[in-house]
Amino acid sequence: MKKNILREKTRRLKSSGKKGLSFFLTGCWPSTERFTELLKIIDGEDLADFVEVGVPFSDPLADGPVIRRASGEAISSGVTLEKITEAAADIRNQIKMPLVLMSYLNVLLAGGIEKNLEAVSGAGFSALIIPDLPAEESGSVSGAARRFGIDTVLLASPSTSQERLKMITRRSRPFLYYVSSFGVTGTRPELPEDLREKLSLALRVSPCPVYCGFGISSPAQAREVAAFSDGVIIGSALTKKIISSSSGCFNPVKKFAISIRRQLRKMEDNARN
Amino acid sequence: MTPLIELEEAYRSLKKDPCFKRELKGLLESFTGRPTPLYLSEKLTSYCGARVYLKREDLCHTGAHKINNALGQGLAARYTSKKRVVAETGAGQHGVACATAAALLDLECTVYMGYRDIERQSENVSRMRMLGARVEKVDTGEGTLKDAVNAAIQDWVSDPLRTYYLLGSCVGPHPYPLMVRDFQSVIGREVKKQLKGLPTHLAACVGGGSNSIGLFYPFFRESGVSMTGIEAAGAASLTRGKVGVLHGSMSYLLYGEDGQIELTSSAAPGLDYSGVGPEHSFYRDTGRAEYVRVDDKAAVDAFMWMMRNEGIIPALESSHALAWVMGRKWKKDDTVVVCLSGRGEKDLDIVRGFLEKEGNQ
Repeated sequence: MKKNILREKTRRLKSSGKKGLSFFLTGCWPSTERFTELLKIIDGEDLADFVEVGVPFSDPLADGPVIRRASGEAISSGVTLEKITEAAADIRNQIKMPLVLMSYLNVLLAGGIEKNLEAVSGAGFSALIIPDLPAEESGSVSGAARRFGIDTVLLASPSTSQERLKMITRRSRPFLYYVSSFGVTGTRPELPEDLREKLSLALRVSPCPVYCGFGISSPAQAREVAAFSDGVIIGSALTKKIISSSSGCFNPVKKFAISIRRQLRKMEDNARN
Repeated sequence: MTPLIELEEAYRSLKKDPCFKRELKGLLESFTGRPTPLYLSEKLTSYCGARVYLKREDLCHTGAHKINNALGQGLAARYTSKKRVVAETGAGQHGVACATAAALLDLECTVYMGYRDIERQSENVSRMRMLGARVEKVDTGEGTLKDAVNAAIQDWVSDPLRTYYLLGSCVGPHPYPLMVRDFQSVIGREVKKQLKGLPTHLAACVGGGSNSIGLFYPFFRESGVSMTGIEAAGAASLTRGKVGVLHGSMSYLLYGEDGQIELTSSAAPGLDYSGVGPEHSFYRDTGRAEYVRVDDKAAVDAFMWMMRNEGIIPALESSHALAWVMGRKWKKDDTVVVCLSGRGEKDLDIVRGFLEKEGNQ
């Protein structure tokens, strides 16, 4: 089996005391060209450790208004799982960072899950995140994914009981996706008060690294969350920056990414000193 | 998942709770007006050449079977100390039922409704608002039931500690299909008591499938009773769909090659849903029930026939079931029970519009 570069990456980050950073991008949006350009920038300028690529879905239950908008625009312009895997396969050799595919289950089932997983694996994706697949039901999908060398990242949230948390962390590879708060994706002025405590618990019980996402919109919030996790995932806030840079270059995206990176590096330095 | 696990646990203990059962039974009798009549329609009987009974859910308080489930779950919300219920609605019947149950049971109530449904069911919107519910317009997607479900789920998961999601059909994640089926099974249980002997056929419309599963389920083991679920031709997930996953359940579903959920189109808002309850998929796969389609025109014809000949205004949803019964060949010995799931005052504008359009062609 080919080696899973995401596993290595997350393991290396954790063992060297570094905080991981991942961005969520809606696949082939605003256009396939802009999307691949952005992937190359993020990789080339080391703005993130890995990228989560979202497959748009007509009924994105877990997503807030910003990602829903991007998703809706992508569907209207004809973006499909096939287009995304083609685009990823085309640039796979030009980027070094791992890619994760975020897709709702129905899209993966349509036309046959084996065929889809083969394409996902062929395009170089290391892992899958399926927001509407509960851990209890994930066995057959993650088993099939494993046969193609793809890991399945599972989700937990502050409302997850300790018992389930243990079960989920045992099954999640190569990291646990911790949903910071109740509700959908999207930027929030404040993160929930008990997040620190809940995240610490997840860190304690999880054999794999814990990445936290949903609602992280500023460098300060990223730092707050990273203090109690192995890394952060940012989607809506970055998507907003993509919208605001839609006509020109990706400067707002770069500026934002660098500001987050800088905060995380500062933390790591402080921890070392 | 946690709110669903908690709900399942709560429901399992409520099912055995004599207080809960007594209170629900009392409300169904004195507030809803149950049992609803099982009416032998002489005119349909002579038209069809078989004995045709109508299970008169249209005579329930609020005008449809939806109240059976709204009271059951509303009471469950109160027994689990929730202060607020959220609901989705298509035709508005479930929304009205929820607003009614919430008013009675002192719960706050927010109902999500697609913009298209708000336009075509404005009277029900006023009813909900006057009953004290907040009606939130859903602008995403097609602006129908599916989009309202998305919005209601998103509201619920944002505030699961205080809020109860009062789902109106036998769809969505477990335990909802089970709970809704249980609360609606009062329909079939009453039919069993009211009819001397077993019917040969049961017929009911299927959108999400709550009135039909309520009628069918108590007869599941009666192998001599055949069952037919009637879908709208423009929203026929069981007869035209493939197995897929939407709103937390795996069932027959209308979607394209790329997995995107397809648009549906039916004159009956309550049937305008891309999915169907998973239990109906089970009935279909095992052959326990058959599923057929009826188009808008046949449903409108049945609607008009019922008004002119029976003096009953059936909901357009129920009119699909009536149309199928009226269009089928029957044997003299057949006994057919049709679920008249709701009354059709809400649909007068739609039918008038439909007839005007037809007249112009």
